[in-house]
Amino acid sequence: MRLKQKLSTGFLAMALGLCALGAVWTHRVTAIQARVNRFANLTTPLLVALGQLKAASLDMAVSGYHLLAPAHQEEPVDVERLQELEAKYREWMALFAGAAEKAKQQKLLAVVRQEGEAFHRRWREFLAAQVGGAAADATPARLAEVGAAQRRLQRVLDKAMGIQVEQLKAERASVARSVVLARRLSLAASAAALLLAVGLGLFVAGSIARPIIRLSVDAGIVGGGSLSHRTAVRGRDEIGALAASFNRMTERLEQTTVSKDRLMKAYEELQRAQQQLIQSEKLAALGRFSAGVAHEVKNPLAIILSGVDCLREQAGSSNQEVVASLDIIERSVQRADTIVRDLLKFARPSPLQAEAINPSELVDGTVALLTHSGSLKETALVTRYGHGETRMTVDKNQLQQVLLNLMMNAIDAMPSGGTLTVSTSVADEGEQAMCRIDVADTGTGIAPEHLPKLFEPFYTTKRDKKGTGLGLSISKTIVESHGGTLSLASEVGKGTVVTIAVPINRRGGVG
Amino acid sequence: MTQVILVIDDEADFTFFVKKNLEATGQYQVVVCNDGAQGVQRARQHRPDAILLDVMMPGMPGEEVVNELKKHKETERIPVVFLTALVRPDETAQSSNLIGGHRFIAKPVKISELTALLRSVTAAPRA
Repeated sequence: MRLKQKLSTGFLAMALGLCALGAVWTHRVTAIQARVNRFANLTTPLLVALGQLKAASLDMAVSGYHLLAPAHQEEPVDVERLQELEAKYREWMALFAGAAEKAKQQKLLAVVRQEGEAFHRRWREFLAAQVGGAAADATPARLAEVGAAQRRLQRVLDKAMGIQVEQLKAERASVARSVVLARRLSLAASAAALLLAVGLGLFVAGSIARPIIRLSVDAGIVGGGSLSHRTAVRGRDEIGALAASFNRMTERLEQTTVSKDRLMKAYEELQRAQQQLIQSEKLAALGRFSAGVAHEVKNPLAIILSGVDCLREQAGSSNQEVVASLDIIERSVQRADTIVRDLLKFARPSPLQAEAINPSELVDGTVALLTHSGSLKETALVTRYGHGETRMTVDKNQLQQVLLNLMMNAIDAMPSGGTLTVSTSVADEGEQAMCRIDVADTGTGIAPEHLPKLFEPFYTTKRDKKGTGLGLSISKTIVESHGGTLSLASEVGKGTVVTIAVPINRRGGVG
Repeated sequence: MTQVILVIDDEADFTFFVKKNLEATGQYQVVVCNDGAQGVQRARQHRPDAILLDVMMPGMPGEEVVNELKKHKETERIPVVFLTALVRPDETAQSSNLIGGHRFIAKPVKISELTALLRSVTAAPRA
């Protein structure tokens, strides 16, 4: 159903409810009106007629007695007044006859009519005798008959009036009940109409507002970045159309974003590949260059060292000054040779000869080398093994070279002594399980500006010419050739942690 | 009794000092040659107890010299020690990385290391 139809239906239903309420109310008011009318039209005139008949008959009877009273016997008979009384009586009889036609208790009213007529007859007989000058003894007898007729009439009138009064009371009670009923009905209908209006209002509002609220929530979710989210709002109205448009829009947005992400990913991969290409080109060029340099430098070094040996032989032990100079030359040759050898190691890494080893074996072996060479000096060494049963499949010699280099760096960073901690662990990095070896020192730390360049070849922070600046580069190359990573975290004044992380497969080896 | 050592290396300055140093020990008589092809001739001519052979030489490189020596009966069993400037330190430490089955030593080399190596190859029975 369309939104306009929905709203129209809601308001129409409310209007119909109110009309129904009005109809019920009108019906009840009409019923009450009818009862009141009946009360006014039927009951009241009859009762009045009965009362007036009673009063008129009593007046007539009293007038008779008045005529015959000894004090008034000498007075002339006021015929006009008597006729007037009778005329009134007839008038009331006629009114009674009219009112009695539609009334109940026809039997009783017939008796009333009969007694009324009987009274009238007796009265007329009395009056005729009185006016016609009948025998004096006959008149009181006629009056006695009038009195008796009047009493009979009065009895039935009283009875009829009593019945009418009862009917009046009953009618009044009925009207009162109708009014109460009408009031209750009115209240109930009002309440029902109110409930109906509220219910319909809520239903219409709900049927319009609910999908809008859901759509708003769904828009919030999509706005939060969940582009795969779709609204479940359906319908053939305008909100349904809005929801369908929303879903189409979100789908296109998702497609665009996916395309953009793919494009960005491809671009990043391209950049990475380009960087790798440049890097490998640089490394290849460096390799060729290093090999050339090594050959060209090592030959003169070999000549110098041989020359030093020759001169040392000639100088013998007598010329200490010459021997001391030759020692200096030899040390310089060795230093130059170390640089060239490191250059070769960096430029032409050895092929991997992988074997499954326990990481603790690797650490212990390196510690033994350091201990034997006396390199630990003032350094306290702590080893912590947390790798469990995990074994690494690595080139032991190369990894040992890396570890040795890192531990030597750590010792160099603690000239006044400190603690060198080597710990092993197994960690999950994304989907890949890694075996980690952390080499931590409590040394001087590395200033943040040096950190980005630490892995670059020939970059060194060792001002005393201890290093060639190739150690970390070579170590990184070796670890990366195992598919792993070499990372470094440092804080000036607190120390440095270098982490070797090599991937392992769960069956115990390193990938 | 002195041993005859043939040194084949294109670096004349190097061979000059190696000859002086080895002969100064009194244990060796050294024949020097600065060219690979001539070195093969000298080997056939002198039949040395051991040959110190440079790997990278213009003309005939070290490996070719070894192949030539293998072709002649009088030289095929002479122990050869390669001298090379292009070798990684780990290769010198691993006996499995012998060049063509021969020992080698990295330049620069101290005379003490050289004599120790020569002693070991000349003491071993010729392969």
